[in-house]
Amino acid sequence: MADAKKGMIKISSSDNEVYSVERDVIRLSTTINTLLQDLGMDGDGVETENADPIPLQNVNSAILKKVIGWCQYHKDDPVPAEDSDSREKRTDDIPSWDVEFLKVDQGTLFELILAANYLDIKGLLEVTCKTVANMIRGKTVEDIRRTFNIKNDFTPEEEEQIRKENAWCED
Amino acid sequence: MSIYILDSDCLSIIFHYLHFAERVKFEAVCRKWRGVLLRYSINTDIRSIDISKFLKTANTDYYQQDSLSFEPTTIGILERCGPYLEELSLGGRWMKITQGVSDTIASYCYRLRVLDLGAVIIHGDISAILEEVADNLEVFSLEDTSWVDPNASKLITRYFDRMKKLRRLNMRAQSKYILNQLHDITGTLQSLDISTALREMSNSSLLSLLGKQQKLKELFMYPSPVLLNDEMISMLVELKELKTLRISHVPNDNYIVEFLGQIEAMKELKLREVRALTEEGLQAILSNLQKLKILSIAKCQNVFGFNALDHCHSLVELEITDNSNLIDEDLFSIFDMGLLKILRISRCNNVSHEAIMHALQRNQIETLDLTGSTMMTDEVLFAIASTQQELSYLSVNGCPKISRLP
Repeated sequence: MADAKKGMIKISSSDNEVYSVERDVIRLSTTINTLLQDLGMDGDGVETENADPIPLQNVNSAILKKVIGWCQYHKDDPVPAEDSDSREKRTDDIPSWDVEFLKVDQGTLFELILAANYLDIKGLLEVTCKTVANMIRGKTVEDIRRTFNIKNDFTPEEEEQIRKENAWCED
Repeated sequence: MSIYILDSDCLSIIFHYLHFAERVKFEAVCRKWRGVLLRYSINTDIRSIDISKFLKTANTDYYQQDSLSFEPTTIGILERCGPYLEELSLGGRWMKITQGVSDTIASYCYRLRVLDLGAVIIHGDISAILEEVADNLEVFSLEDTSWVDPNASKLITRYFDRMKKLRRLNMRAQSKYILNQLHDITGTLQSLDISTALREMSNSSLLSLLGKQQKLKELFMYPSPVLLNDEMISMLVELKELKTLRISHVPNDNYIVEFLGQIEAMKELKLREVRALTEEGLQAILSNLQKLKILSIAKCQNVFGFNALDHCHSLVELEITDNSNLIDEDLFSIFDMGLLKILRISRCNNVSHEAIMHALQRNQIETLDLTGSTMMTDEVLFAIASTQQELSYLSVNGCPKISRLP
C-alpha cells in the first residue's frame, strides 16, 4: 500500500471532508497543479502524504466528489489546446460518458461549473457549459425564464425599449 | 441552487457557445444576462457576418422600398461585433445602402480583410469605409453593384493605390471610369473580374492593368470590357499563373483566340459568344491545354467541328451549348475518361441519346443539363435512374421526346 500512496495529494472540501487523490488525477485542476508547483510539492519523491490537506473553500464535499470522479475518468485525456480564440463552438460533441455523468439536477450542474471554473479544470468547464448552452439554445426568452426560474427584472418600459432596439433580430 | 449562483465569468463561457443571433435575443432575459452579453466582449469570436442573413424575407423587391432602412439592423449588428469582424458581406440582395449604413460600417469595422458590397444599390458614397480598410483589404467585391450617384462611385478609385494587399477584386458591371483606374492597384491580384456588357474600357488601361498583374490566376472578362486585339492576347499569354479564364463576346474576323492555347497552365477555360473561335482555333487551343479540367464553349457559332475535344483527357466539367455541329463521335473520348462531374449539353441538336447513354455508363455525374436537346429519349432517364448515384441536378427542359420522369 505504501507504493500506492506515493504521489497522493490531500484536499479538503468547504465542509472539511478530506480526500486523498492521485497527483495524476488532480493535475487536471490547473489551480491545484500550480499551487503544488509553488509549494515545491510536484517533484517525484516528495513526501506529500503527511502534509496538511489543501483547503478548497469554494467546493463542498458532494461536488468535490463528483469533480474527483470526473478527473479520475479523464486523467489520461490529451491536454486541450490553449488557443481560446479558435475554440470550437459546437456543442454536440460531448462524450457519452460525460453526458451520463452530467445527468444531474440544475443546481448540481451549476455548482459543477463554478467548481470547474474555480479549480480551473478546462475539460470539465467545457462540457458543463456546453450542456447548459444546449439547454438554452432554441428557446424563447420566456422559455429561458421558466426553465431556469429567472425573474424578469426589467421595468415594462425597459422591456419595450429592448424589444424595439432588438426588433431586427427577432425570429 | 439556481442559475443565479453563476458569476459573469461562467455565464460568459456558456454564452460563448451560442450563435450571435441567440446572444442578442437573450439580452432580454434579465439585467444580469444583458450586462454580461453587452459588456463581456462575448462577440470577440465573430469574425464574419452577412447582414442579409438577418433580414426577414427573401424577396428582393421588398428591400428596394423607400420606406425600408437597414440602418437599425446594421447598427445593431455592428455595434456588437463590428470591431472584431474581418469579413463583412451585405449578401447581395439588392438592398438600398444608405449613407447611414456606410457610415456605420466605417465607424465600427476597421479590421476588415474581406468586404463584399456586391449586388446592392449604394446611395451615397463609401469613401469613409475605404478610408478605414483599404490598406488591409484582401478581397473586395462590387459585383453588379449599382450607384445612385455615379460621381460617388468614382471616389473609390482614390483608394486603389492603397490596396496593397488585395488578392481578389470583382468589379463586374462597374463604369469605365472605375475600370480605367484599376491599373493603380499594385500587382498583388490573383483574381479579377472586369466583365461588363459595355465595351468602354480603354485599350491602354487594360494593357497597363494586365501588364502589372502578373500573379493573376483567374480572369473574368465575361463579357469582355474591350475589343480584344493581338497585343492584349499576347499580354494574356504572358500571365504565367493564369489557370482560369472566362471570355465572352469576341467578334469575328479575328483569329487571335487560338493563342489562348499558349497559356499552358490553364485549368478552366470558358468561352461564350466568341465568334472568332473556329474549328481550327479550337484545335490549336485544346491540343496545347493538357491540364484543362473545365471547358465551356457556349454560343460560339463559328465552330463547325468539335474533333478537337479528343485532346481533352482530364475534363471534370464540360459545357457546350447552341451548336448543331457537335456530334456524338466528338464526345466519346471525353466520356471514356470517366472523370466528368458536370455535363451540360444544351440546344445541340445532333447529340443523340446514345452519346449521353455512353456518358452515363462511364461517369458518376453530379450535374446534368440537357436543356433543349431534342434527341433525348426516356431511355436516358432510365439509364440515369439505374447508373447515377451522385446526381444532384438534372434538367431535361425542352426535350420533347422525354415523356416521363422516373
